[in-house]
Amino acid sequence: MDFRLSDGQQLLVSTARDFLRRQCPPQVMAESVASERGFSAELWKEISVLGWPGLLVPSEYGGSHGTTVDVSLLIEEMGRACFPSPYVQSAVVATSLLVSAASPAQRERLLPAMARGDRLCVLALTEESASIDPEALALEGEVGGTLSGRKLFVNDAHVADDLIVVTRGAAGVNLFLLDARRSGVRALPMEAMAGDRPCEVSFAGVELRAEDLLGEAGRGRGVLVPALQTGALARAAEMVGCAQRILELCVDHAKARRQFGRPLGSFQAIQHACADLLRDVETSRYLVYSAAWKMEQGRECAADVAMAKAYAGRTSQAVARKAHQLLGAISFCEEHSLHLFHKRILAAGLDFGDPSHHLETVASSMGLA
Amino acid sequence: MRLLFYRIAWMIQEGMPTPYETALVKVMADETGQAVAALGMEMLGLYGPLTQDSRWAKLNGSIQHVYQTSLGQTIAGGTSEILRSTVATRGLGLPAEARA
Repeated sequence: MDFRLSDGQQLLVSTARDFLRRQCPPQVMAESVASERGFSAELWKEISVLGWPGLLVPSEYGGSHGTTVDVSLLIEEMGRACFPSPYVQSAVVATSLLVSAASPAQRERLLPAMARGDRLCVLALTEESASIDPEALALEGEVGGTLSGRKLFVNDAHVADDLIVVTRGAAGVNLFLLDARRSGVRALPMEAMAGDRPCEVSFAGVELRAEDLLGEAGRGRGVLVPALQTGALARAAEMVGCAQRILELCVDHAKARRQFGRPLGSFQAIQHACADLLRDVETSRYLVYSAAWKMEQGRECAADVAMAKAYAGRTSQAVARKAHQLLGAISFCEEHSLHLFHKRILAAGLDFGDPSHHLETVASSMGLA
Repeated sequence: MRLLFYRIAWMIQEGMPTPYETALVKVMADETGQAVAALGMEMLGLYGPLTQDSRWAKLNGSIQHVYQTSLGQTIAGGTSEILRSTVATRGLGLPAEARA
């Protein structure tokens, strides 16, 4: 067993941490979150120069052909800064789908531009059932037919150039790659607390042509499942980063703040609470790393990803909640960033499957139900 | 929990001392309220974070509002930590933690 990161990974982490500390301090992060777009277009350009959106893009399309562990480490750093961006939706999930299922023409059209950060693509899967299970799909769509209806909770659709729309077809699940500006397609924000930017995407008689199909007709499920696992893992890594930063805020506060003539952190009640936060963060982190490594190695990883996502979801939320208690009244001020970390954790915990969804996967991996 | 509150009200009405009882039930009520709000968010899933401005919000977005406001209750009017110490010392007679 070797827990060391490679030299390249260490460099990626230190570059990301340094960049985000300088360019995305809490004030900038809060302003970006509050903006209409929900993230900073300038910072997106800067991370594009660093090559981050192209991390999972193959080198022949202008990317750096990074691994699952690489991208998990990068996203953990983004979480640490509560960096708001469409990175996971576009550069991780949609990119993975395109790499695994797109035709050469589709790849050529999207991947180089996405690697440069000039083009954003998001997956439109969930509907009113709010389920990510392909069995729950109701929206019907077939090559040669038209698409009418809506998708819900499509994160970052308000800034997307392209959409990967999942439909139910006669032969199974279909994926369609559609230009977000095509006539009949409309994205409207759903109005949520800070965290993610979920949108309602409606389709009014949108023609579905053969060249819009992503992968083979009826075979969408096979490419969707690994992409959803990648998304779940990415959001778990983001939560680990958020929780790590929250832990640091709490420990700094416990050392600096004095009560009854002593540092707050000298009281056992505070020490024990902080120790529990460290346990939660570290356990989540190594579940994420282990699942990422297995995925990267092409090993069976469904239960590992599910454990990481469920555990990180539950414990990161617990970390945020306990942090409010440890930091006290200051953490309820708008100016303090804890509420934004907390809301990001809530959103990330729900995206690509909530804890109960993933715990069911863990249960079935043990032969239960 | 409701009965414990009624009992304290009765004790106060009867002029009886309540050295630790209110501390005990405040911790209990605050933490129960938080757990109920968190359960509500969990049950709503992706609908949970939608605010009352959203046409898709369930229960008019009230659960996320309660979830957020409930977090301050274990701080305001006596933190759960201080109140547990009150229960331990005044209620159970344990020695107080040394203070500088």
